[in-house]
Amino acid sequence: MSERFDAIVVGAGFAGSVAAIQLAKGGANVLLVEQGTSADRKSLGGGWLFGDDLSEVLPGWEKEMPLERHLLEQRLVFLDEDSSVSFDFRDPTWDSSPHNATGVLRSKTDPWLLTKTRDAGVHLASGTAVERLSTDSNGSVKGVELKGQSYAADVTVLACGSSSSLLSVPLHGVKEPAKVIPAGAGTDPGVFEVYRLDAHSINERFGLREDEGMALQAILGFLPGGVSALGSMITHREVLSISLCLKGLAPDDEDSEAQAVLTAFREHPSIAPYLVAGTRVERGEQRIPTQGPFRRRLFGPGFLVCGDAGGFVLRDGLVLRGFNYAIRSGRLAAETALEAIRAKDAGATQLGKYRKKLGQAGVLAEFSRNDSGLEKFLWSPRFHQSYPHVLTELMHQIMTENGLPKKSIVQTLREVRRATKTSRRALANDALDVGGLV
Amino acid sequence: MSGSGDSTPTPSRAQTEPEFVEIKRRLGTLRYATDSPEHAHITIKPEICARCPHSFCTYVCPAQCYQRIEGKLLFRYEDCVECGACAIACDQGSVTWNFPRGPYGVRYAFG
Repeated sequence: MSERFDAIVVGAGFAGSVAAIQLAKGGANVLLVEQGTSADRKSLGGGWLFGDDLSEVLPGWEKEMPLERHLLEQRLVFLDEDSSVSFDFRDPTWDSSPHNATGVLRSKTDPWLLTKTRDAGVHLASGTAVERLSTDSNGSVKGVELKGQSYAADVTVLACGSSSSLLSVPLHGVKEPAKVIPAGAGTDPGVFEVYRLDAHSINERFGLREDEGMALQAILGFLPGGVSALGSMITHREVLSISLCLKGLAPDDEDSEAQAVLTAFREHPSIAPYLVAGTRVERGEQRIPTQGPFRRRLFGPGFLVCGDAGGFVLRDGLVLRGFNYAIRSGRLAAETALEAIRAKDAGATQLGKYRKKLGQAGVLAEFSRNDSGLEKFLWSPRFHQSYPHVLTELMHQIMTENGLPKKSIVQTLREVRRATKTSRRALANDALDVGGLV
Repeated sequence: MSGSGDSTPTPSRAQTEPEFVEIKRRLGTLRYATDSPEHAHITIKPEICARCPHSFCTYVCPAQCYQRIEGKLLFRYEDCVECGACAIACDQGSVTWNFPRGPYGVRYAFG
């Protein structure tokens, strides 16, 4: 027996939950399928929710949602072999509500989002994985199959994350013939570890008051050539999370390198003291989309793609952001689907309006950064490997007392440049890359 | 029951654990519900693995589910963290990748 819905949403993370709620609010009969449950979750991660994106879909979220600390301090740390140079920015204006950024841990937010979908009247099938998409002879998506049964819908919204095999099946696009994308294609390895540490210790260690939080982004400058990593440490209420996003690992190196990099990060003399007496309670690995939404299929006859599944993760050499784009793309996918349902037309042209909405909402503009000179610079070996060394060498020379008369800063800079083999041309090129943007 | 935590040892750059101990330590923080073997969510084709020129799967899997033992490629689905790395690594057509049937597989409690 097949059941018919207006829309089926696959995946109840930020993108899927938002899409489902928005669809239900618009009067659609929605089925939301999620492979995990509130108690046994498949989602992993935490980070920051910037601004107020959720209020369109869930007004009052900031009071109801289980949230962590709000961001007060942003640190950028260049890690050399043993030493480090940090930049620290604290902004007390971020203390007042609405906060610039609010901390989230998916162990708390995802179960809450599930209850909100039920409150909105969404039919929720949790603890169930979609086995495959149902397509007709033209390759149009007609619904999903799960537990051996078919469920039909006018529009299927895929919010199935970065590693789903659902997008692997040949799907017909507007102009291109069927294209098979392997599960997890266009992703890099990501690791997320959780350390339990009581709130008082966190406050003392980081100089924070009750609800204040710190985000630390680290450039790991000591990695072998060609490998870059963006390391992150975040203070949550009673937990510290450490995460890494790795780039440039050769496939025959990948896992052992990833392990070694995380251990090196965790044990770095500038990082390790923050973890003392912390108890590691969890560690997981998931894949992080790297190519942005432009190289992914975002829509087709009968389907729309949002969240990580659509590559809506902003990742350059300094930041890793996904929650806000998951929310925005989920909301816009729902809007597009509602229009298609009302028009009784779920063809590719109708659903193609999704792309236009994303453009108009400014979502796509943020991702054009991914291919820009700035992105290249921020992932470049020079930024990730040379600069940390140059900075620490510079500070070491300036600040270390060796009984000899101090040289001028210009002289020190020259010597450091020579010692670290950084050519004037290289510095000039960097200045042009970055300077050309401002 | 949540996974047993392990206290971070006093930071020491000189101390490095053998890799397999480190992997077991951190896998020990995870909770799983293991589906029966006939529902293993990832399958391989041994005849393809026998001819594989690289065995990238054995390198990329964070849970060491793939191992070459005496020339044979052995795969165990029980420790899988469902990341999808092997789906990308296998370009020989051996790995068929799926999520486990809900709600089996790895489940996260804290992160």
